[in-house]
This record gives sequence, structure tokens and C-alpha cells, in this order.
Amino acid sequence: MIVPVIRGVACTRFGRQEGIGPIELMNAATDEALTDAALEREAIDGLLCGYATTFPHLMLSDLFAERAALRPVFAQSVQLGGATGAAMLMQAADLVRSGRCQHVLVVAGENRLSGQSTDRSMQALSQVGDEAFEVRNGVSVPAFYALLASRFLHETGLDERTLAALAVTMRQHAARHPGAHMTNPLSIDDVLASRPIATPLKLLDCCPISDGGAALIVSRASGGGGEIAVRGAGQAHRQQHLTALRDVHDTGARVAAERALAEARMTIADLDYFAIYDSFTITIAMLLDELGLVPAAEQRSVAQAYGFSATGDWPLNLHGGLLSFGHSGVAGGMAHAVEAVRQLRGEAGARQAANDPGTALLHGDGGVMSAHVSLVLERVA
Amino acid sequence: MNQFLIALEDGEARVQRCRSCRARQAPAGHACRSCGGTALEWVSLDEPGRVYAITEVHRAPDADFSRCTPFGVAIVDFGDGLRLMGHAADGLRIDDAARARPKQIAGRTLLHFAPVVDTHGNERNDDG
Repeated sequence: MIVPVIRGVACTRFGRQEGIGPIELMNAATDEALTDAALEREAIDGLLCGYATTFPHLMLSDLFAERAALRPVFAQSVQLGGATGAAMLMQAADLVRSGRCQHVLVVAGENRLSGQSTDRSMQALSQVGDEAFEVRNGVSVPAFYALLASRFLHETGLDERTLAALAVTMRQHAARHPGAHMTNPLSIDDVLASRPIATPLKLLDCCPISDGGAALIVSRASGGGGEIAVRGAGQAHRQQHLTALRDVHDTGARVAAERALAEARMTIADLDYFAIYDSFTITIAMLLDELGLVPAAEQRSVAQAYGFSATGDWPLNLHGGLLSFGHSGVAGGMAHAVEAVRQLRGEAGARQAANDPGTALLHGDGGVMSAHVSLVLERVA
Repeated sequence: MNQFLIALEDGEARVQRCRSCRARQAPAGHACRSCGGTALEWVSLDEPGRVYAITEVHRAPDADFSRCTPFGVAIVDFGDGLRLMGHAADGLRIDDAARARPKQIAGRTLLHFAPVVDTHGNERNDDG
């Protein structure tokens, strides 16, 4: 039986990179991933590309294949919002497992910060809202997550200080990553005092907009030990729009994770490292709760006891997450996977989790908790 | 053309309802998300709902709405799976009873939710 492994990973630095477009970011990440995988580019026979809002194109994967001198036997451009990176990794594993491809390149990059104004980015992202029933009220993604937050806080008793503690945690982690966008130290009071965007969310409850790219190469296991296998994956798609979401405790996240864990024949208790989507503080709070990792009521105390840190019981987004490593679109979600692989390899240096993680849960979500993709990774003995 | 928007322009709130299972839904769709049926109709929304979620928007994505900030936006629950998003009157809170009516805001007709007021002029937060 073929076991798909993540053979190569790469992530550019995230932040402001003037004058560099999406294709260049994708090429930079691809070159670095090929080196990491010790592969020549001719070996790539599968290509999955994420989108860039600064460069909408009908056939991005074919365009990129030409630019990068690739000739895949299978290519696709994938669009699932923030879940795209995880979805491409899931598909790459299936392509390898089926024998369709030998080496699949998963790649995305976007100059979302320097390529367009914040307002333009917000307008592009508002596609995830329903134009007639939602967006024309003058709202976009931050307001959707603020509405979610108001309900989740009401139902769980979780408070804004807890959300702030999660932002502080991500900033602490990013401070140890040389490629992170936001590294200045933050306190809970700093987060609470930051500019309101849509209550209860303030500026520092929201991830920044960054330029950046990332790439993964998925291949078959060669049989030598230490490879990072994709053991299980699962998706859930219950609704696109916030007004169609029935229950803030049952968004589809748990369903996706249960599918991935079932395929991997594991439970939450078997997991060592956590790479969980954190577009906003409320996103990570809801996912930690719904995935059965850390209930809402315990999150603040876990954060303040450094329980999510490299020395804690729940090492989480040790690269700093979207909230501080940065968010450049699809590559933002892929950075979680890159860090998970480095952690499982034991290559994370100053950020290395003390528990020598052998397994990881990766979860991406797109839209307004709309598309969910979970993966279970394991270092092969 | 979108029946929800056409109705708003006519000064009315109308929502989609399944002829088969009677569930109402928003946003509108081709098929009923409760039973999968495709026989759907549009009906008037007459009753008040309960505030499900609420936010005060301080940063709006375009010029029309930037002039209105901060403004309240709520999702109101009408039971049977129907929820609607619209602007919210000041002071509205989660679980308050609220009634929807079309209103001109930022150069367009939107749903606006106001607290349900009883015959004595008191705000009501219950079903009675």
C-alpha cells in the first residue's frame, strides 16, 4: 500500500514584500521546497495551486506550470477560501496514494499586503458572504466573525480577555520565527485597547494582511524512517453563509476532524502537535472547543500557563499562526502545515515542541466556518 | 431577480418557504435545506424574532458605509431555521425580541431590526 508523505516544505517570509507578485512568491516557495525535498523540478508530475485575490485567473495552475517549467500529468486550481491549503494537501495525498502521481507540488502565494488596499482585500473576501442577504448591509469577513463571536461568547461565557490571551500567545510564538510578520510583544491590555473593528473584535483580534508564499511536495514513502505521512484526512461543507449556520458549536469542524481521525485510526489523545486555523482569535477559540481540544472555559488559563507553547500540553501554531506569522491568503493556511512538518521532523530549532511530537492535527477552515478540512500527520518510525 | 430584494424595495420583508415541509430559509436557494424539496415559495415575514448575534461595525469595507460607522448589525432568529441579517437599532442585545422592517440606509433598502414594544410603550424581551 502506498503511503503519501510530505517530502518537501517551504515558506517565504511573511510581511511586506514590495514589487513581488503572486507568481514570483509561488516560484520562490517552489524552489525552496524542491531543495528541501531533494528533487529536480522534472520529477513534479502533479500540481495543485491556490488562488490569489490580487491576481484572479481562469487557469492559474497552467499559467504557473508554464512559468515554473513544470509538465504535470494532473493539475488543478483549488478554491475553498482559507481551507484551500489543507484541501490541496488532502488531494495531493490521494493523488499519490492512488498512483496517479509520484510527486505532487502544492503551492500558493499572494502579495495581498502590497498588491492592493485593505479595503480592496476586504471587498474581495466579502464574496464569502451572501450579497443580497448579508453583504449589502455593509459587512465583510471581520463583521461576520464578530457576529459569530457575539453568539459564541454569549453561549459559552468565554470573554474578550480570553480572546486577547490567544492573540498574545500567537505573538509569543511568532517572536521565535525569523520569517514572521508581526513579532512585537503584545499584552492582553494591548489587544483590548486596540482599535475596534466590529465588536467584540478589535484590530489585534484579527490577523494582519501579509505578502507571502508556501509550498509542499507530497510523494510516496520511500521506506526510510522519519518521513511525515498523511495518515488521514476529512472535509465537511455544511453551509457557505453565516445566516445559514445552525449552531456555533457544530460548524462542521468536528465532523471533518472525526473523518480524518477515523481514517488515521487515532483519537484526539494520540495527537501531539496542533496546527489550527486562526484567522481571528474567535476562530481559534471556536475550533479548539469544537474539535474537543480545549473547552472554551479553560482556554484562558491554558494560554496564561503557556499550555499552548512549546513546553505545554497543547503546542499550538508554534510559528505564530495567521494572527502573527501572517496571512497572505492560501499560503497563510499552508504555513501551519509547513510548521507542523518541521515540528514532526524535529527541525523547528528555538520553536521546537518539547514533547517531541510524532503526530499532528492540521485544521483549515474557509469562508465563515464554512469549508472545513482536517488532516492527521504522523512521523513514520 | 432576487425576490428578497424586490420585496424590500416594495417595503416588505418576504422570505423563502418550502411547500413540502414548510421550513423557511435564508439565504434563499434552489432547494430546501431542511428536506431537499425544490417546491419553494415566497411568504411575508410578519412575526418578530429573537436576536441571535449582534455587532457594532466600526470599520466598513466601502465609502457608502464608512459614513455610517459605527452601526449595529444583527442576526435575528425566527425559529424553524430562519435567520436574517440586518441593521440593528441602538441598544439591541442578544435574546431581545425584535421586529424587522425595511429601511433606507446608505442609499439602499435594508432590513432594520427594532426592539418589540408593547402597548404600554415598554420594550418587551419575552414572547408574551
